[in-house]
Amino acid sequence: MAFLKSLDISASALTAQRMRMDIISQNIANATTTRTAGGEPYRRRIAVMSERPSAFETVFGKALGGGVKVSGIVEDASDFEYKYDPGHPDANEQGYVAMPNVDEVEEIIDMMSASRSFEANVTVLNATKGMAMKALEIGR
Amino acid sequence: MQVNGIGGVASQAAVKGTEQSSGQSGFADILSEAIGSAKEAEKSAGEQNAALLTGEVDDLHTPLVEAQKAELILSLAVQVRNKVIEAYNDIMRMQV
Repeated sequence: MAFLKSLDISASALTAQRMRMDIISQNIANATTTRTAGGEPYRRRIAVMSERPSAFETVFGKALGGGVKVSGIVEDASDFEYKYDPGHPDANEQGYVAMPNVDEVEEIIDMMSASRSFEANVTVLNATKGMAMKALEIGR
Repeated sequence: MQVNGIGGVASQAAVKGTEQSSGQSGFADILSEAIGSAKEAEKSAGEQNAALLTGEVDDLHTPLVEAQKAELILSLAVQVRNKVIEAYNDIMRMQV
């Protein structure tokens, strides 16, 4: 059922954006975590999106594509911020505490982007469904 | 035997009717194919719903999209059935 493939593509985008939202909420929740299991402060995580290939169906000689997927979750390699707090249990010899490299403002903006992207894909899904329902009205 | 001015499905059905001993097999093929795919889609949507209610599913939108697909396929099957029955009735109404 080829007309359902568009629904599959939109559904894959909804899954990917929801996963991105999970990562953003993890980042914001851990914005002040100075100690993780590895002993370091929390490192900001980023979702890497890639196009999901579709094995079948070529249009004009180019594969149509099967949607999007989160191909990996990588850690942001930027430096930690250092805050002066000698009384903190995680402070080093100079009295500085390494804080996570999470910028809450940037994360909130990413959250808005993920939310709008999710809504856009739901709109596409509804439009595709509307087209299919209209097609079924032919000759009624 | 030429069938003029009735319509695509009706003429195809009439040809199938003359080829086979009873005119029922052609309609049965089209109908069972549509109903088969509708059944598959309903089953998949039902499983997704059950997973959602027991809390096993990861995404909220997956059962909803599957239910939407099942609804579309069922509507298609209903329309196909309507057209096939209409064509059959047209043939049966013909004066011999």
